[in-house]
Amino acid sequence: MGSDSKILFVALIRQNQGIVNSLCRLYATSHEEMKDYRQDVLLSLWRAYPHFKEESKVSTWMYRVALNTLISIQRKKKHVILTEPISESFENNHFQHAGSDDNLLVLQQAIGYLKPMDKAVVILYLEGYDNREMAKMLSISETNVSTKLNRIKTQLKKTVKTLQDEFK
Amino acid sequence: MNLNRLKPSWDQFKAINGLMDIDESEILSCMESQDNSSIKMFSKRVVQNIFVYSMILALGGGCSF
Repeated sequence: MGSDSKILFVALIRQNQGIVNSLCRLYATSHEEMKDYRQDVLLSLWRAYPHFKEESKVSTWMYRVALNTLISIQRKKKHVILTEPISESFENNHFQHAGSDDNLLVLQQAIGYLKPMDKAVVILYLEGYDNREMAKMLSISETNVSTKLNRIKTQLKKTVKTLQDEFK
Repeated sequence: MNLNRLKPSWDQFKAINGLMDIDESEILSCMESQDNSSIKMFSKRVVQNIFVYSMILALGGGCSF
């Protein structure tokens, strides 16, 4: 690809770095892992960039490629780690100055405990995508999305309650 | 649980993560690694093809009826 494509791609990533960082942070269990995931996601986005059609929104394209990459990475791992995601990040100065609070910690930890595909579903739901769009982006059926959402709601209710009790 | 309750926190989470700059060098290194792997893959294919055609020619030449 030409240098123009490279310049455009770098600008695109910089404009949407919140998406890339948020997704990698929710799937990673350490800062090192987050950096590795980010490199994998950037590589996937760069590979997919020539096929990006401007008829869809940039953010939709990024969510689709990034989430499928992260799900695929975690599936390849023999033991999917359903442990606490990066929590110390909320203790460092950067996050404290950015106005972190208990709700953010609850959100990150509650989502962090979900399975990779369930995480993707809840992230896309929070982004405002409907079941049909989510199904298309994650290559699963609409019924599957609906079932997963119901299960996730029950699981999150329990996790959020436990976490909120811990913070009291 | 009403997931919509988490939406403001999600927006805040994304905004905070948007403040973490991804270095241009990090993006460029990922792009270059892809370019390098494409070149390696191309070279590997060329070598493989030369080997396969050499074998076909050698075997074909040895089996003249």
